[in-house]
Amino acid sequence: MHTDNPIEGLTGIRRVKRRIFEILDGAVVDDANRACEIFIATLVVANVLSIILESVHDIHEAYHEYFYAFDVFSVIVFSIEYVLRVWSYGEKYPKAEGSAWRGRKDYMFSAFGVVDFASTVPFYLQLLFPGADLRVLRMFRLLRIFKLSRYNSAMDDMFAAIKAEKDSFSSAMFLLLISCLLFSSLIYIIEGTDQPDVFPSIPAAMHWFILTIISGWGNVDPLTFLGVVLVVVTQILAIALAAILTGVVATAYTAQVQRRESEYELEVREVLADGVVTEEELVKLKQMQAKFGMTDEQVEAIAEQVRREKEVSTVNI
Amino acid sequence: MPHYMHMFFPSLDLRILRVLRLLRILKLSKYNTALQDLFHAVYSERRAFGSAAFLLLIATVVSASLMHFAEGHEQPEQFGSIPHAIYWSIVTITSGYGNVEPVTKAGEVIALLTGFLGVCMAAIMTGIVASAFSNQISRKKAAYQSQLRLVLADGVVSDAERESLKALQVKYRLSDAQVQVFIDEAQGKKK
Repeated sequence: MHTDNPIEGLTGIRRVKRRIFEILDGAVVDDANRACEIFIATLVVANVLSIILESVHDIHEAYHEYFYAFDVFSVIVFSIEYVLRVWSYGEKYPKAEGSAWRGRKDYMFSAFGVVDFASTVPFYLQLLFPGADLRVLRMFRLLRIFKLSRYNSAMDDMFAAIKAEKDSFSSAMFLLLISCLLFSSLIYIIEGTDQPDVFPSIPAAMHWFILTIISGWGNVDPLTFLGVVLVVVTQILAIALAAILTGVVATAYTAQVQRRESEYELEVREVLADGVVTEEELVKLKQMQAKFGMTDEQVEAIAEQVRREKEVSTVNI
Repeated sequence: MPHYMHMFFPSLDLRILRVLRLLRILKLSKYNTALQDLFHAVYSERRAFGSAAFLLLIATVVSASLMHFAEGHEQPEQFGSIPHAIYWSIVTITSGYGNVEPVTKAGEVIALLTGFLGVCMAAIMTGIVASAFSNQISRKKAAYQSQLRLVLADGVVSDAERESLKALQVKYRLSDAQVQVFIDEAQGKKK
């Protein structure tokens, strides 16, 4: 899409728009794009720090004008960012593939668009309606931390891995749900009459169950023999659940790494196929390595293997 | 080294010197490839670890802030500021059960979710390490196999080649049974 640099041939305002789109979207990686990313990311980190520090009463008392000024500054920057994004994302698709509003709609209803909007707009609402609860506003300000995930692939990687293994994940979750219903009902029936203050209802027993699952002990000691058995079984279940989750994550990651390696291997094979490695191909391989975060050793091992396979096949012929 | 330092500066705290002497155990790691394997495995998955650390950071800050908003008024000495709540949130994520009991309904829900998040974080960390190890092992197997194929390619196995295969097997710590499987596989393919 960007091979023939679409900025050429545009004039005036469209040219500016295209350039802003490139800088904000990161479709073309250059210095301006990187500087913009670093600036926004730094501002977000500073914002999160200021929200944390502001909650300390003494610091808030001493410096609250500075905090307010910083918040105003951040809101101005984020507002400009939001407006520019909405405006320039009209350039996302070529004219033939839809109107300017298609790209804009894409952005505004994406997770990032919603985060950008929801973390900025409450400030203006507060100006309009000064009586609003401050805690709610701070909570919305906290959403700014999720702006960072645009510059970190952690969330993407996580969701991709979960998506690839979604069957295992959903069966693990299903198991958890079933055992939660079953065990909390059982403990309510068995211990409900003996300890009416801790197990007054099934939802209260569910609270106990989840505590036991996550920490190994639900801060209640059973009184009956059956209750003891149930607690022990729940604790064993907690270990099993942790093991299942770990196994699923491990498989998902292994599969992801192997997918990347085989993709890279395919590329190496293609590069070596004609016997000549051009400068361009080298750059491409280097880029791929950086994108996948592979170590030099890994890359060397793959290249070595492909080379050897070629040698062996030529000898055999 | 600490021994000499003590001779020159006799007034130094003895306990520090003893601790430094403990560092000698690290010398052992020079002779242990397992430790190196561990570092390599972790290093090759450093991006995944970075991502996990990023998620952990976000989870800590968000859960601590939510807890501060929910319980700050009810328990000001525990959740009076976000830094205080961060301590609670780290304890809850690592051990599943925080040092403070929530008193509001919202606080209870946040505490349970934070605890569950802790289980997920542990699973993610363990999963990454496990996958790093298993990837490393499969890479080693592939390397050994390609070496083996190269040796068998010309039909003659010289003494030098046998030696190098043996060395590789020791280095990668493959069992004899595994090697036999590889050899059978390679020969089967040739026929």
